[in-house]
Amino acid sequence: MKRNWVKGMNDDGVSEAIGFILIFTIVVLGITIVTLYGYPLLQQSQIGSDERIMEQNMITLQNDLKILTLSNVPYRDTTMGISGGSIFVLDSNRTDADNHYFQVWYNNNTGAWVNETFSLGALRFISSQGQAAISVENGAVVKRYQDAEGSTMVADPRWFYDASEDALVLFFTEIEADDAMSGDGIANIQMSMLDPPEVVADVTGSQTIIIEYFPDNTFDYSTAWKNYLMGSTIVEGGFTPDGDNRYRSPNVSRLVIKKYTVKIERI
Amino acid sequence: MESLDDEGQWIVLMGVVVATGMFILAIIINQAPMVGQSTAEAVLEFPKNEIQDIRYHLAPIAQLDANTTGLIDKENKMRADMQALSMARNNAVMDFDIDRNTGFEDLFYQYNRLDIHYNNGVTTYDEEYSVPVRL
Repeated sequence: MKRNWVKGMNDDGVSEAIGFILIFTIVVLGITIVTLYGYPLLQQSQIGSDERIMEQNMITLQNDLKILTLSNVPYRDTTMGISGGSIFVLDSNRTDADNHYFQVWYNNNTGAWVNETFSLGALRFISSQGQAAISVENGAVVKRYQDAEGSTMVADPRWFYDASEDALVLFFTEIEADDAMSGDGIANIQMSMLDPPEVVADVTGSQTIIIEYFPDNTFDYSTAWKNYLMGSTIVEGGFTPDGDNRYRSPNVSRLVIKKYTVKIERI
Repeated sequence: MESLDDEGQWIVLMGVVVATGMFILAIIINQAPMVGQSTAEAVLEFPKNEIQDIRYHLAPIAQLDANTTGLIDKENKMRADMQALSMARNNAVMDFDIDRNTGFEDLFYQYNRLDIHYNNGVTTYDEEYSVPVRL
């Protein structure tokens, strides 16, 4: 550096000590501001990113369930890091108020009106700091916040409608577990499907099918299912609402209902 | 500030450049798992073998002559069996249609057209397959 970098400027008043103190103050102030305001924000975003990671993990779990059920593989292990909460299994055979299930009305081949109930069970992640509850139920990933109304569907189940055959295919996945199990940290979820899938119905003949969702009292995912059924994912134009949580399909000429029973051996 | 030397300012600049680069890379890496997963899933889930199997089993019935006794009956039985099997094993809706009067023929063969429709919820597939029948 030149002695006088602007010609004729007098640098008698320049003090290295004051300069140092000024810069040091700026640095300390900067650190204080980050600690005061930035750190809580960082923590907030940490919770958010934990939830997002778990959302992806639950999609992985859903994919493994798909392999187990739709590809007829008997055993499947999934190892995943559970961050910011823990994962629980809900047995489908629970009969208390926390049970959630689907009911389907259709005509069987003899013309009689049949009503079938499918308990779902679930693998559910509950965030410890945030309020998110992400569930894998019935082959779908659904998410909700416990203090808020409503829920969203993160990943769809594989129900489908074939337009050229007018065929509606519904898959129900029941999750069973002998014991109450939960996991956090690194969880190894062992699943098996030793019972062959059951074709509950394979009926032909033009008819309307009614599907009703009965939500869990505390973990109500009915908005997610409503948006899924009434959106255009399955049928163009969606199902028509028929009362609370009840949906009517358009006329179909073939209905297939398959039920899978997946057992969670261990978490 | 007399004794300060500013010759090394490029080091600070490089620091900024490297930090920005790492930041951008981190964002890209964060996006990567999702893309990889859905792409791999799409490739894995294409039911190539299932469709080949269906074609393999339907070709013999498409080769039958239009005057075969009980042809409609045979076709309907085949249809019922294939539909039940496709649903039980591959969770798929399938149907087929055979046209024996396509008018396509050459010196040795006539060609019947076999239309296969296959839908397993992820893949919807329609194909027209010309089955050669020796004249």
